[in-house]
Amino acid sequence: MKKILITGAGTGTGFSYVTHIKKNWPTNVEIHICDVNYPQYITSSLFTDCFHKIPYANDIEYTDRILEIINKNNIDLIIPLLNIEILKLSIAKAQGLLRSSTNFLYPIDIAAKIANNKKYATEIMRTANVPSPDIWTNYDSLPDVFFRKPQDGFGSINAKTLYKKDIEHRQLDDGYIYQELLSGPEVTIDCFYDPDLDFISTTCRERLEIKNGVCTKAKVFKDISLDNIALNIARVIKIKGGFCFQVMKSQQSNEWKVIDLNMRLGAGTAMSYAAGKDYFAATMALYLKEDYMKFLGTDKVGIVTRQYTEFFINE
Amino acid sequence: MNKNIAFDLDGTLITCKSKQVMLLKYLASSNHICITELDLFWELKRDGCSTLRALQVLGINESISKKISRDWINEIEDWYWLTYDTVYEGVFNMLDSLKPSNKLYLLTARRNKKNLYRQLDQLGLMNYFDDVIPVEHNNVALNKKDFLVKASCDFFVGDTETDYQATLGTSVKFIGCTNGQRSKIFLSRKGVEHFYNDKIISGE
Repeated sequence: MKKILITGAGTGTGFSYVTHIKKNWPTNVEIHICDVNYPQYITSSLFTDCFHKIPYANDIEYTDRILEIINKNNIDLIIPLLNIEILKLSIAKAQGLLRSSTNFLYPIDIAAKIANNKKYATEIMRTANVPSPDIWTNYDSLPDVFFRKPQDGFGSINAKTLYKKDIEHRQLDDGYIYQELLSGPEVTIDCFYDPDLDFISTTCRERLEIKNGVCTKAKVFKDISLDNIALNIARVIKIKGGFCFQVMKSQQSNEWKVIDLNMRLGAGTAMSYAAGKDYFAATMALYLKEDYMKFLGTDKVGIVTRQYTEFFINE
Repeated sequence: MNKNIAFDLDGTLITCKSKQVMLLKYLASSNHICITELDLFWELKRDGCSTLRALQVLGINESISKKISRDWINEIEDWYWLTYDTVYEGVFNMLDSLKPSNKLYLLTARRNKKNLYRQLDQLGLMNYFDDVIPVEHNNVALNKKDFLVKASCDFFVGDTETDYQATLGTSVKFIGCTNGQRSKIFLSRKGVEHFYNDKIISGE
C-alpha cells in the first residue's frame, strides 16, 4: 500500500485530488490530508483515511508538524498544494530532515523556486523557448499600462491591470511582478506528462467566468500550439504527471504567452474531467506505475459550468 | 443479425463501483465512522449482500447501518454521484458493431429519469438505443420481463440476479456481465450459464 499526503485539503484542488484518487484506489492508496481547519469543516475529510490539523504554513511550528506527520506515518508521496508549503518542504529536504523514501512528483527545489518567484519561473520558461510576457524591474522602463501580480500568488487573487501614473513614489514593490499587458482570452491548460515516454496530454480551458479566483464557466478545446508549449514546459520542469499553466495573447504579436505555471493541477482541472480527461487519476496511475491512458479519454470540445454540491456532517 | 437486444445500464454498460464506494465513504464519515475496508464492502455486495447487510458484516451497528442504507437509496441517483460513473472499456465498440443491424434497448431500474437521460446524453450513449425504458421499482424483475416479452427481445445483457430472473420463463437469452454489481460465482450460483464476451451476440 502506498501512503500519500495532500496538503491544503480545504482547497478545491485538494478535494479533486482526494476524490479522484480515492474512487479509483479505494484501499491500496492510503490518503492523508492536512489543513489548518478542523476536519468537520473540510469536505475532503469525508473521503480520506487520515486527517491532520496543522498550523499555517508561515507559522514557525509548521515545519516540525508537517515533518512529524510525514515521518510518523511513513508517507511515500507528498502532494503540496500551497506555494509556501512547497518552499518549506524544499528547505526541509535540503536540510536532510525529510525521509529519503518520501517522494514528490517533481524536483522539489525547482518547484519551490517556480512557485515562490515568478521572475524565476519566467526565466526558466525562456530557457525552454517557452514564450512569456516581457517583465520590468524598474519604474522608468514601465510602459503606461501593465499587469501586476503577486510573486507567490494563488489563482488570480490580487492580480490586476495598473497604470504607471498610479505607482506611488516611483517605486516598484518586490512582492509583485510587473509584466506586459496581454489580451484575452485567458486560457488554462491542464496537462499530464510521462517523462519516460516524453508523452503529453492536454486540455485547454478558456475561462468565461471567474469567482474568487476560481473558474466557474469554461470553454474546453484542443490547441496543437499549446500542446507544444506544454511539452517544452514539462521537459524543463521535469514533472511526472499533472500540472497546469495559463496563457494569454500578446497584443503585438498575437502569440500565446505563458503567464502562470503551477506544478500541480488546479481547482478548475475538474472541469477537464467533466470533458473526459481525469488528470488527477492519471497522475496517481503514473506514480503507481499503472496504466494511465485509460484516464485520458478523448478530446471533447464544449462548455463546462459548475455548481456547488453540498455535503452534510452530523454533529 | 436483426435481433432485439436489451441492455441493463449500471454495472453492465457503465461502472457502478466508484459511485457506490464513494457514497458509502461519505455517508459513513458523515456519521463519524471511518471505513477503510472499501474493497471488502464491494466484494460483499458482489457476493449478493445488500448495502445494509454488508455494513453489518463490517461491524457497523444496526441503527447506523439502517440510517446509512436509507440515505444511500435517497442519494445514489443524485447527479454528483453519477459523475463517478464511466463507460466500460469496449462498450462503444460493441454498440457500434451491433447498432447497424439490430434493435437495441436500454432497460434500467433507475428512479430519477431526468438524471438518467442527462447522464446517457453526457456519456454519449443516448443515440445507440431505439428506446430507453426505466421500469418501476415495485417489482423490477417482473417489470423488466414485461418489456422483454412485449419487445420480443432475443437477448438481455445484465449484471444482477434480478436481470436474470426477468428472463426466466421467456425465450429471452440472458447474458451475464461479471464486472458489475455481482460476481461470476454469484451469478452462476443463481443459474446464469452464459457470460458476456464479444463472440456470444455477434455469433448468434
